[in-house]
Amino acid sequence: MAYGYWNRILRVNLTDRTSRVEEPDDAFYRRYVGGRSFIGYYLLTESPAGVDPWAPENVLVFAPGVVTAAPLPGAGRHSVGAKSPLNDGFGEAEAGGYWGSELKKAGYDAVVVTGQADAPTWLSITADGVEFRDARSLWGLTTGEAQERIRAELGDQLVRVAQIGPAGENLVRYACVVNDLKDVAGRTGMGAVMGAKRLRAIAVRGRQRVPIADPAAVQSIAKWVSGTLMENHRVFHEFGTGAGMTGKHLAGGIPTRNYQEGLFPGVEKINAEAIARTVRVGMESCYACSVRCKKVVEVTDGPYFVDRKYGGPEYETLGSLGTSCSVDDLIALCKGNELCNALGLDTISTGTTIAWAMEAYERGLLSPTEADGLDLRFGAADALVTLIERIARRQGLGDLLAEGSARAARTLGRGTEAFTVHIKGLEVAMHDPRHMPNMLKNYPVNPTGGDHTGTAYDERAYRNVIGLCHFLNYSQDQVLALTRAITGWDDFDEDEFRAVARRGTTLARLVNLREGHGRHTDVLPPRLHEPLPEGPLKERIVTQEEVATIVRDYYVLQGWDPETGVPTPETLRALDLPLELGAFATT
Amino acid sequence: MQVRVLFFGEMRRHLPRGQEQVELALPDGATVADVLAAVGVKPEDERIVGCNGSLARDDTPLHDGDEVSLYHPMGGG
Repeated sequence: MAYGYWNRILRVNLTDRTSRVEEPDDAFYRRYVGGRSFIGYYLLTESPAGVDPWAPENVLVFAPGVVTAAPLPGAGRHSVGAKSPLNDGFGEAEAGGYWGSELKKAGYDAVVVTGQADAPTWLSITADGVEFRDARSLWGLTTGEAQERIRAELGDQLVRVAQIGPAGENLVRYACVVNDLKDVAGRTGMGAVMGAKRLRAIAVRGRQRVPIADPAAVQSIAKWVSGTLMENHRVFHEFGTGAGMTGKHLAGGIPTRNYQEGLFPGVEKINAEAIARTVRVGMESCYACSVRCKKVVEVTDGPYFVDRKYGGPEYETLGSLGTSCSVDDLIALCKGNELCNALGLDTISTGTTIAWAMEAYERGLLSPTEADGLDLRFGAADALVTLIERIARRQGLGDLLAEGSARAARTLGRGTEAFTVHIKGLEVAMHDPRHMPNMLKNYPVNPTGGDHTGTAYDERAYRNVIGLCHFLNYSQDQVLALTRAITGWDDFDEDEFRAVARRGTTLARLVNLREGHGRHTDVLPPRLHEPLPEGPLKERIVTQEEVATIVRDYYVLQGWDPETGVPTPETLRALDLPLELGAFATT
Repeated sequence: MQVRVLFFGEMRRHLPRGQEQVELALPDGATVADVLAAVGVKPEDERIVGCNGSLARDDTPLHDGDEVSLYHPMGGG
C-alpha cells in the first residue's frame, strides 16, 4: 500500500461542471512527489505553449506534497500553480495553515482545475466528491464575509476554505489565494487565475488519516521539535517573523523607500517585538505544528479597526507595506495587512508596486491628478491604506497599479521603468541581495522571480516539492528520516533528495523557457545594482559580472546548458524526466 | 569591565526562556569576539552585532558600560 499519498488526484473541469479522480501509479509519486513538480508536470503536459493566463486552457493546480498532513511540525504546506499573469511564466505560491492537510484528509493528493465557469462558482470537496455551487451571492464580498456564508451554507464551521477576494475577481495581476482568511498563497497572481476561471472558493472537509509508514519515527521527530522549542525555534515561537528587522537596519540592509536605501530609523516601531508589546492578541499555528509562529493582531479603536480573524502581518508585509513605503505607523500596517487578506492581495507585490508609485510621485513623474489627489509621498500611511482598497477594486490609480509595477511602469513611461524592483515581473521580496548573499544567489535564478520562499537550490527547493515548511530547522538527516518514515521509501537517500529537488527546478525551468523566459530574465533589476547611499553597506556594489557568474554556476550545477540555461537531454534522462517535456526548448 | 549583552530574535536561543540579556565581566582589552565566545555564538554562526547602537565587528574593542546587541539577519518571510 501507499504511504503519504492516496494515488488520487482530483480533476475538475469548470466548463463542463464535471469532476473525476485520476489514479497515478506509485512511480508517478516517487518521481514527482508533489508541490512544484506537480505544477510543472501539469503545465507542461496539459497547457499549450503561450497559454493565456486568463484563458480556460490555463491549468490551475493545488498541490500538497507527500508529507502534507503527516502529524509533524512543518507538514502543513501546499503549493498553488498555473501560468502566471504577473511573471508570464511559471506561477507558484505556497501557503501553510490547514487547507492543504484538509485536502489530503479528504482523500486527494492534489486538485487540478481546468476550464472556465459560465458564472461565479465555488466548489465543495469531500471524500464523496465535488459539488459545484453558485457563487453569485459571494461575488464582491470580502473573504471574511464569503467564508461565513460558505460555512453556513454547508452547515459546517470546520470546513477549510481557499478563496479569492474582490482583487482576484477583478483580475488584479497579483491577487492571491487566501486560506482560512490568513494563510496565504501569495505570489505570482494565482488568485487572478482563479478569478479568470470564475472560481470564487474551494471548500474542503476531510476526515481520514493519511497512512504513515512509520508513525513512531514521525512522532519522535515531532517530539524533538516540541521538546527543544527554545533551543531550535525560539524566535518564531516567541515572535513569529519580523524579529530580525532591527538587525537588518543596523547592518544597513533593510529595504527602504523602494530599495533606494538600507536604513529605516522607525524600524523599532513596527518590528515583531513592537507588535508583541502592543497589538498582538495571540499566536496561532499551522497543522500539527508546535512552533506556532502566526501572529494575531487586533485594534479596537480608531482611526483603523483591525479584525483579529485576518491574523497579523508577517515580516514581508512589515517590509513591503512598511519599510519599503517608509511607513512606520504600525496600526496602519496592521490595517493594510487586514485589507490585503480581506480583499485577496499579495502584500509583497502590493507594497512594492505602491513604493514604485511613491517614488514616481516624489520624482514628479506621477502627477497629483494621476495620483487621485492623494499625497503619495513616502511615509503616507493613509494613502497606503486607501490605495490598497483602490487596487483591489481597480479604481482610480488602483487600476494602473493593479497591473503590477513592471506593466504599470511600461504604461506610465517617463523613465519610471528605471526604478521598478522586480525579477521576471515578480516584485522582489524584502531581503536585499546587496546585504544577503543567499538571496543574491537565489533571486536571479529562482523559477518565479523575486521570491524568497520559492527557492532554486536543492536544500530549500526540496521543501518546495515535498510540502515542508522552511521555518523548521530540521537537519539533513532529519529531512531524509522524515521522508522515509512518512512514505516508506526506505532506500530514499541523498542522491534521491537531490533528484527530487532538481526535478522541481528543472520542470519549472522548462515551463519558463517554453513561455519565453531564459538567460535574459535571469537578472537583477537596475535598482539592485545601485549602491546604497548610507550605512555599513554603502561600499557594496553588486556587479553584472557577479550576477553573471552566479547564473552560470547555477546552470552548471543544475546540468543545464552553461550559456542558455536550457536543461540538456542528458540531465532530463538523469532525472528520469520524459524527454518530450523538453522537446520544445529552444536556445 | 562590565558589558551588557542584549539578545534579539533568533539569538535568544542562547538564553533560557524569558531572558533577554546578560551582564558579563570581561578583562580589559576584550573585544566583541570575546563576548561571542562567552555566550556561545560560534564563529560560523550568522549574526549581526551592534555596539552602543552602531554596527560592530568581531575585533571591535569594548569598554566598561558598553551595550552589545546580537541580531540574526533572517527573520522569516
